[in-house]
This record gives sequence, structure tokens and C-alpha cells, in this order.
Amino acid sequence: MSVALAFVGVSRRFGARQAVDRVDLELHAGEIHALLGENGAGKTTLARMALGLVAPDAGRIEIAGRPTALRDPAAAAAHGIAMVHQHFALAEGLSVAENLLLADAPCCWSRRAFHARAEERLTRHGLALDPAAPVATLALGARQRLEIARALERATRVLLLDEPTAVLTPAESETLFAELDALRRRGLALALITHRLEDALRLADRITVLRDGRVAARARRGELDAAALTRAQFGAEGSAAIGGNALPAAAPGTPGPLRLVARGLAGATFGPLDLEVRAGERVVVTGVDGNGQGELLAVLHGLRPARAGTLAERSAARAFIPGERQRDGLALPLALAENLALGRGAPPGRFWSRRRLADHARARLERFDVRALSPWQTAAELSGGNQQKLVLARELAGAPELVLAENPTRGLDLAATAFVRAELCARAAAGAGVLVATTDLDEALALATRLFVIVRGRLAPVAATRAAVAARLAELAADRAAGGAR
Amino acid sequence: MSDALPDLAAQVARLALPLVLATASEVVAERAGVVNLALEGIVLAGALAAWMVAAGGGAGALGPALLAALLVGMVIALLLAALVVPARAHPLVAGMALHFACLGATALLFARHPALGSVTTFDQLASPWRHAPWIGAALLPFGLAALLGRTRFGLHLRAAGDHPAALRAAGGHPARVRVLALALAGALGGLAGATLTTVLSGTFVDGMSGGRGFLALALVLFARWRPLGALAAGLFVALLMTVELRLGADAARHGQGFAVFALRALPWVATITALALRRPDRSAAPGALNEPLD
Amino acid sequence: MRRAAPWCVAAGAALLALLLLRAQGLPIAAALRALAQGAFGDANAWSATLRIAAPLLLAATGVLLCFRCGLWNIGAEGQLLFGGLAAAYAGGATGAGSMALLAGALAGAAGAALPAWLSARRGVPEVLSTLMLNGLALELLRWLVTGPLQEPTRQFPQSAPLPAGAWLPQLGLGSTGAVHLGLPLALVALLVVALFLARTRAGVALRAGATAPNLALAAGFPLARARILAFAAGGALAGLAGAVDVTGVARVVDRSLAQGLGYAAVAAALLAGLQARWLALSVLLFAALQSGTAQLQWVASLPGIDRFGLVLQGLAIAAVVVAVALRRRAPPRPGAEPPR
Repeated sequence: MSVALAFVGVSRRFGARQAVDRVDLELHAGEIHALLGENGAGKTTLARMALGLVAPDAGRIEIAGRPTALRDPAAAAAHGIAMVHQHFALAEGLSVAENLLLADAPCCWSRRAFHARAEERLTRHGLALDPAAPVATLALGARQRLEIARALERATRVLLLDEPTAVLTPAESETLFAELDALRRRGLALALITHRLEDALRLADRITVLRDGRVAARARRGELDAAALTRAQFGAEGSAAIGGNALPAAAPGTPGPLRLVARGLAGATFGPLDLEVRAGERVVVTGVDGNGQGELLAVLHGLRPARAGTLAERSAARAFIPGERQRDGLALPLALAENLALGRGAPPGRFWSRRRLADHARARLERFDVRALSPWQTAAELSGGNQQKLVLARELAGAPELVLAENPTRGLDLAATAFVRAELCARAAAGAGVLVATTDLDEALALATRLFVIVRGRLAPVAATRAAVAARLAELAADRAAGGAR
Repeated sequence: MSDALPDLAAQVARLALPLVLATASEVVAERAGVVNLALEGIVLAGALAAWMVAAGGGAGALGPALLAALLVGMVIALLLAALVVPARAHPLVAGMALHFACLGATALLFARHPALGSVTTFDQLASPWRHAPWIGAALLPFGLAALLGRTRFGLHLRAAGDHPAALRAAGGHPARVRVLALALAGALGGLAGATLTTVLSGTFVDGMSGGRGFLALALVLFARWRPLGALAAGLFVALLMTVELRLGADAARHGQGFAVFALRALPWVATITALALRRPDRSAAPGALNEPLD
Repeated sequence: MRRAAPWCVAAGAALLALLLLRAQGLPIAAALRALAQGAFGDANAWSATLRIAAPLLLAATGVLLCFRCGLWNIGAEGQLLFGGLAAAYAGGATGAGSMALLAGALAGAAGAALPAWLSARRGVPEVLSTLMLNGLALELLRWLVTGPLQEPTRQFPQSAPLPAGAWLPQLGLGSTGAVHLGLPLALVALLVVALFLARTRAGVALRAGATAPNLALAAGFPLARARILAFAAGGALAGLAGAVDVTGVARVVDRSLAQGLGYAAVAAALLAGLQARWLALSVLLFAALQSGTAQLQWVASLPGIDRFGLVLQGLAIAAVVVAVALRRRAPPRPGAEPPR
């Protein structure tokens, strides 16, 4: 099998973050190559390199064996490389035909000729869509098929797919897999970027696992099983040293008062589920992004209404640490001191002097190790890790009885991560009920006194050991791959 | 008041002329993703430019007058484009800045040259050219609709305003498209102003645009961002204005001040009411309106 | 190099302004001198400048409040008119200046409450609704001064002169002594708004809500209601500006009320970068520009030169806007998130 596209020793850095670190990867024609990895592992950056949106700092890209510089998307398209984007590159206000022909529309046309041309392409891709229909009216599955068709028009050599099953129902996924199989047999080199084990296991001829920008594992079909792949993705090997601090186990003895009781709770992307959190507990829900964690926490905090079920009990003194730090966790244009003056963590009183705000801020900034020059800097000026610490400084100060957090250590270095985890444990020990949703398995295992796995909005309890989680995930993956019931 | 219907229709058409052009201009700009708050200023500047070129020049000066208005409008819009696209200023703020600049510049220039002679308006022409503005304004929305819907430029323009990333993925250039779209919008806005001095009246008066540019901004919503919708919206508001003029003239004669006020306020009140009654879903709006390009 | 760019833009804008001035046919030095003379030359000039500055500052403060909360309220012009008209009516009816001011503030608030409600409940963009109200307000003015509010002899298109009891007290300055209570009032208003935005729970939450509404909501802050109140407050300040103009200087309402003051308030707020600490200076600059160019017109007999101020306004805002945008494009700091 010839190599359609190869990454040879590519590296790319953004600011202080090494997104991709000396990666070698080959995409062979007529094969499906799955790129596995968590968010931030480097998969998207590699894809953007292949599309000409980003250039490598080091290393090179070879197309059919020849080193090539891909300067912009047009160049990539000229070499027959295209991508099916996760958030489709479709203009919703335009029609099916217009999106399909956007890349190579003629100078001017009559409606009939235009639609005829579109029809021809639609038929070629086996799509039964009305060319005049606005994309906004299409269902998700149809949109994805259109997105694939759009990409296939340009992809004569390499087709990348970014998280294609993220928004699909099982039935739609099946249709997709059949299409991918057909494309593979036609000789296209397919790269499947995903964090879903089951998809990789089912489809891929080759699997490459990325972690922290580097290749963590390589395998051909059948060589590695789900458990091994999970370990590679989440970093079982050699990532155990987290400052060496042992975190306190759950306090034994009488269970504390209930801080949160949810019964039959359901939202658009999760449930129905039951959940209880008591004082002193650290309940962790672990799973890959997009399985309903975000909405669950929002509903629990009262930001969004539930579609069904009740919250029989919920402490008023709550801390809420959102998953989207920059959009929901901080007011970026505002100063640090002002961010810290919002919500529960605000200084007492309605009117503050500048000195009071600054002192209040300084105390917290120091306590939570936020590296900043002055409390009057704007939150936008902080690095990502410090921004997260700022959010924690605001939320965890005071004595919250319930802590709801989504990915609380995302983007933090090891020391800060240890600090945050210790902080959450301290809160729990002081009588708070802590509920954390995280994609980081190490974190889940380190923190949890009770552990759940969340898949497609449903919670499944699991023992807090690596082996148990890997087994459960693999079991659920195999379950679905075999078309079994949930 | 049973004046002949053609008389009424003619008056409606006259009033509709600048409105249709201004609304069409904004349709082009917003479809490409930029709200043009400087439209009022562009209309005013176009009116002045046309007047200055056409005044005292007789029939032959009308063509150059229109051209001048068109160019002036285009230049101002390109200034807006320079602020919004490469410099990434917020379109509303940049539009405000240009609005002031236009207001000041036109008032300044007009004060310098207050009496330039009279303009031979289109109505006063003997030749068939006197119908040119009407024919032009009637055909323009159809032409624009064809441009937006049947050409590559139009397609790229709409994509730039809806989902610039999709356009880039398709090998297009959203930034370039936005600049060109604004240039076109500016030209149309300038022409709208030109009709004020070369068709509706033969002179220039300070503040002649009378809020038409701002009105056009609101009318775009009713036009659902379509050129043909601009034609309909412009005609409708012109109808309201005609009613206001006729009834208002009556009322003024009879000293009914309130009636005059009510009628003159009609366009504003009607627009706000209609805005309020609109279904809150903005699904017809361009998806990336006012969003900066990365 | 990047950091110098905003200053380059400012210098370029200033140069352009000077060139334009030169193109008017004036030697630059003489022009600048006349401008300064007209604005600050003597007590009369000062009072002319401050007379414009007081209502301008009030209105600009209202605009600043709204913009900082993420509310695009460009209806200061209309709210000012509503306020001036209400003040004339109330002052005439009650003969008390305080009633006039109160009426002005309430009218301005009402004029802002409608767009606020429309924006919150019906999704109508504030920019459009406030623009429409501006147009409406102008028509209202035209009607009232030739109709219900017209002075008794029915000869002139203006309201009845305000009874002396409704006049704003003067603070002696210059022979015409036209510095009235409006100025300290405006300064107090600015202080109050600035403190509110920076030092109170509600103010900080409103500002946060402009870019991160979810954050404000998660903190339990009633964001929607607060935004409507802030919008109304901004309108009240603009209405108050109109009332101050009527009771403090003109003592009568005619068609020349406001005349672009509301839009100038928007310009002044933008030029100050929406920062309260620069607002007074920005307003002073605009007021000086206006009174200075009026003087210039007199001295240099260049008709229309007073409109030059508007051009400079536009130029100034454009310069600020470009400078701000350039600064934002500075290279990312270490540890920044990778671009999507």
C-alpha cells in the first residue's frame, strides 16, 4: 500500500505549549488510519497541518513521497486533501447546491443548470437531497452526509474526518461506516480523528494514539485491545507521579448530610439519572467530552432547566466551575480583582473601596497561587493555567457546601494540578459535597471516593481502579460496536 | 381626494427611489456580514456630490453627477472596509465614526458653496432619459438578486456573511469579498443620495438625507435581506410617506398639528412596531453578521 | 514596535486633521490660535465651552454606562429631546426647576425603557430601535413647539419662556455668567456612574454580563432585569442633559434643541475609550472644539467651519478604534491557547 501522505518528524508550538512534538505518521492509500487521543493531544493540529491551515515548525509533510509545503487550503485541495470538519464547514444560510458547488462555482449560471450540476454530484455520492433546500433545514445526519460529499469533491487522495460520529445516532453511524468502507476500497487514504475507542476498533486498519503531542502507541488491526488503547490514551504508563502527595481517602464513619439529591433528572443530552452527593464525598464522573457532562452540571447548578426529574436537595452555598473557562468562567476584559468580586466569593457589602477590592483579591490570588503582577490586570492577560486558578480562587473561597466542577485541572501543569486536587479534597474534608466531571482518568482515580463512568448521558458506577474503568469502557464500547443495547 | 391613481403612484415612486436604493445597499453590506452604520452619511455625501457636479450644468451634467455620487459613496464605504476588515474595528463603532465625519464634511463643503445654481432634474429632461432613474431603480433589485443568487461573486459574498470559515475551506477569500461588497454597497448608497438632488428636488439642503439611511437599516430586516424585499419595503414605506404628505398637507391647512405630527412620525413608529412584532427568530439574518474574520 | 503602533495612528490622525485645516485656507498657527481663543480665551469663551460641556457630559455619562454594560444605546439624541421637552412642560407648569429636571430624567428613562424592553423580550437590536426613536423624537419636537407647547403669542416656533423659578441657578463666571448648576451636576453624575461600575456588586456584574452572560447568571445575578434598569438609567442621564440645557441656558425650547448633542455624546464616550477617567477630558475637548470652531467662523469668516468639528470627531474616533484594534493584535503571551 503506497503512502499517500506522511508526517515526518513534525513539531508545532503555540506560545509555550508544544501542540505536536516530533510526530511521524503515515497515511496509506486504501486504509483507514485512526488517530486516537484526548483533547489537546495534537490530533486537530496535525489535521490543520494537512489542510494547509497551519505550518509545522519542524519536520516536513510528504505527499506521495515528495516533500510538499502546503501554504493554504487551496494548495491542500490541489493535492487532493480535504477534511470533513467536526463542526461542519457548511453555510447554513445557503442551499445544498450552493454549499456543494461553493469551491468551484462557475462565473455565473442559471438556476436550472446550477441545480442540474448539483444533482449530478449528489447522485454520484448517493445523496437523495433537494438541491434547493437550505442547509439549515437538514437533520444532522443529512448535514454530515453533505459535508462528506463536499469534502469528497476535493479529496482525491486523502480524506480526514474529525470526530465524525460525535453527533450521530447509532443508525447514522452505521451508514457512515459503510460509506467509509466503500471509500477505502476505492483507494482513498482515510484518517479518522477520534477519541472514541469503539469507532477505532471497528474501522481502523491502523491506529496511532497521541498523547501530549507525541505518539504514545501504534498498532495495526487486532494488535491492541481496548484496555491497552485506553491506557495509552490516558497515560497509564509513567504519569503516576503527581507530586507524590497521597490524597486523603474518604473520611470513614457516619456519612455526612446530603448536599445534592437528583431523581430521574434528564436534559437534552443526558439522563434520566439518579445522583446523590453527601458532605465529605468526592463523586467523580469520568468520560470523554460530549457525553452530557456539561449540561448535567449546568442543570445541577440551575443555569439550565431540566427536562424531567427533580432536585430534591441542593445546597444553596454552591461553587460552580464551568468547563468553558474563557466563555463562562471569567469576564476576560475585567480586572482580576473584579472577577473575584462576583458571585458568592464577593467581599461583603454593596460598595467597596479600591483598597478593599485589592486586598480581597490579593489574599485569594496568593492562596490559590495565581501568578499575576497586580490585581488590576485584566483576566485576559493571564495564561490559561492562571485563568483557571483565578476561577477556583473565586469559587472555592468561602465555605461552599457543594462544589460542582467540570475539568477543573484542564490546562494546568503538574504542580498546579496537585494544588487544585488537594484543594478539592480539603473542601470535602471540611464538609462540602464535591462533584467533578473530568475527562482525565488519572484525575478521576486520584480524586474519587465514588466513581461513575458517563457514556451517552447515562451514569454507570464503577470501582475506582484503572483496570475496572478500562474494562468498563471497553465493555461499553464492545457492546455498542456489536450493536448491543445500552 | 380622488386624484388620479397614477398621480398617487408617481408620488410613491418618487419617494421610494432613495429608500429602495439605500435598503438595497444595506442588503448587500449585511449579506456580506457588515452592518453599515455610515449609510446615512453616505447618502448625504452622495446627495451633495451629485448636486455639486450637476448644479448649473444642464442636462449633460446629470450623468457625471450620478457617477460622482457613486464614487463618493464607494470611497466612504472603502474607508469603512479598511477600518473593519484589516484593522478589525467593531463595525458599529467604525460606522459611527464615519457618520460623524460625513456629516461634518458635507456640512462644511455645503457652507462653502451654498449657491451653485440649479440642477436640471431628470423630470425636466425632454428626452427619454427622464425615465432613467425609474427604470434603473426598478431593474436594480432584480439585477442584485441575480448577482447574489446566480454568480460566483454573489455566492462568495453570501458565504462570507454566513460562514466565513466554510468559504475559506472552499478556497475563497472572505476578507477580499467583504471589501468588495462594501464598495458595492457604498456605490448604491451614493446613488440613493444622488436621487435626492437630481430627481426629488433640484437643490441641496443641510441634513437632506432626513434619516433615510437609518431607516434603511431597519428596513433590511423586513426585506429579509433580499434585494426584492428591499423593493417591496421601500415601496411600502414610501406609500406611508405619501399618505402622510397628502393628509398632512390637508391637516396643516386645517391647523391640525397633531395629525401632521402623527403622519410624519409614521415611518419611525411603523418601523419600531414592525420590529417589535417580528418573530424573534432571526433565521433569515446572515449567520456571521458583524463577526470579525480571523 | 507593536506597542508604538497606536501612537503612530494618533500622530497620523492629528497630522491629517492639521492638513485638512490647512486645506480650508487657513495658516495652521493662526487657526489653532483662534480655536484656542474661542474655547478658552477669556471668561466668555470658557462659559461658552462649559455651557456645551455640561449637558454633553451628562449625556456621555449615560452612553458610557450603557456601552460598558454591552448595550448599544445610540439614542441619546432622542432621549435628550424627550428630556428637554418634558422639562419645558414641567417647568412651565410648576415653575420649579427641580420638577423640570426630574421630569426630564423620567422622560429620558421612558425613552430608553422601550428599546430596552424590546431588546430583552423581542430581540430587537438596540441600535435600530434607538435610531428609530431619535427620528420620532425630532418629529415630536417639531410638533410641540408649533402646537401644544408653543408660546402664547403663537408667533414663533418655540415654547413659552420658562418662568424664573424654573431656571437653573447660576455660578458666577464672566459677564454672561452662563455656567450653571448643570456642570457640577454632570460631574457628580459621572462620579456616581464611575463608582457604580467599578465598585459595586451590581456594576461589576453588569460589566461582566456584557461579555460573559453565563458568568453573571451563574453567580445568581438577575442580569436581564439589571440590563433594562441600566439602559433606563442611561436614558435618564440623557434626558437630564436635555433638561439642563433647557433650564440652564436657553430657557426656552425651539427647533435647535440638542442638534447633534446626543450623537456627540456617543462620540465623546467612544473617544474616551469608554473609560470614566477620560470622559471629562474627552467631553471638554469636544465642547472646546465646538465653541472654538464657532469662534473660528467669526474670525476667519469661513462659513461652515464650525462643522469641521464634526469631521474631527469622526477622525478621532476612527483613530481610537484603529489603535485599540492594533493593540489587541499583539502576539499571544506564552502559554496562550492555540488558535482554533
